[in-house]
Amino acid sequence: MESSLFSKLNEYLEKESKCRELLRECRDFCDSAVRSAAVLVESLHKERDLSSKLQELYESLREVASEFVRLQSNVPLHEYYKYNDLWKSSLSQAVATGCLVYYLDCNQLADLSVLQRILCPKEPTASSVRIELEDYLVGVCNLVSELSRMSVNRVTIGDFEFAVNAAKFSSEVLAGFRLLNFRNDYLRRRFDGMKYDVKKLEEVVYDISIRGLLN
Amino acid sequence: MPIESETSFLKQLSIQSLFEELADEFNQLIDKRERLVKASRDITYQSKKVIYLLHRTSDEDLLAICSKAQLQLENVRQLICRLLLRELSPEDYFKFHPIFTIALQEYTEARLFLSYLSESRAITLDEINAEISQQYESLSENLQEDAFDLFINLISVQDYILGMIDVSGELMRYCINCSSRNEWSKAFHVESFLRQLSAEIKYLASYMSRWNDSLDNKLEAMWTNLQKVENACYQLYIRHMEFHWKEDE
Repeated sequence: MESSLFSKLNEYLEKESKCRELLRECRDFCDSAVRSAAVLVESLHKERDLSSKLQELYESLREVASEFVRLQSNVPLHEYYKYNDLWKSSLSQAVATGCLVYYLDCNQLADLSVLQRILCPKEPTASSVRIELEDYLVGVCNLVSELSRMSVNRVTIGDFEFAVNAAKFSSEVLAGFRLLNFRNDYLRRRFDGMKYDVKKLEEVVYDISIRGLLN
Repeated sequence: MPIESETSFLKQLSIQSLFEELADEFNQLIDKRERLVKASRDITYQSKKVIYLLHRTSDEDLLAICSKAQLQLENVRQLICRLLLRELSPEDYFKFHPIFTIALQEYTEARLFLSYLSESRAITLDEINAEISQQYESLSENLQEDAFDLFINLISVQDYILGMIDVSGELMRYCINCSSRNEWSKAFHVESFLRQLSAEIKYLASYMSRWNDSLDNKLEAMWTNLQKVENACYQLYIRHMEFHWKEDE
């Protein structure tokens, strides 16, 4: 057995492990940017004037985007998917936040291209960060569950309109999800959970309408 | 009021049509995965058959079996090119890699086993990949430029090393067969080969544990295989001494 065979393999693995280490560091920066955006979102639950916060939220999403841009500059060509498990969860968190901010801003569901513009603003290349279809769908599931929480909290500060709009929006999203053919995986389970979020949203609307709080 | 219902109708349409598009895309993704799973299963099965064939070397002529195995492996390479390479682009190779890595490992295992039996050495990763790219070139007339990088390195370092760990099981079985037939020198050759192999792989494994959960189990299995082989050789030696030292006197 030639030892050159193994030294070559060794060299390759060493290089790969260094690259992974570097990307892990970048990922940690992405993570902390995503977390500070999440903290801001948390403050929205009881904020009386939502539109005043939007500027700040977009700003923090730009922060997230710039960390992802830095991360992608260290991804070797054609090896994006070799490492993307590292930042999968922080990206899907960012997607959920992006969806929420866009919903609050435009009252609409952000599609993939909108999110790509918000989170990965650079011209796409072979190694640039991309939002996978499945991650996007998980992000939308997260959006609906965040909305159900938020609608409860906003009712307690007297914002009934939010609950009504969110319930309508979420039931449309649920109807959209019904068009997809799921496999029996994580996404499927998340979709199964979504109907409970929608139910919650509808109950909130029921509660406020039966008490004549809607006019 | 009419204005509001109108806008809500528009919005309804847009979420609906957005998801109609997504459904198409999603179906395509799932279909592709299914095709890759199927391809992977076919390649694995055919590679396993080659390994079984190679274990029959005791019954028939070694050379005849090896050339038969070589031929069957060429068929496996054709499967790899037709079913796997055609589905992949260099960019999403690693996206789907978890689906077909088992198949590539199994092929590597069969190819390594053959190279051990016919040439008493481990074929290198570059050689294995060169065989596949030759096959690919012979199959397709109009090569795409960007596919070049992919079929040059279809089997990754990870696949190769994991295939190498797996081949220790086949070598162990081969060694036990040899020792039961009293093929002394073959058994001892396997023993020294396997010891060297597992020592080298243990060294490499320090980098690998992070990306593969099944690695620890596999290393454990390799270690047991080595011990089995060492014990078999020990038994062989003891028996030999018992029966032959009197003759030697």
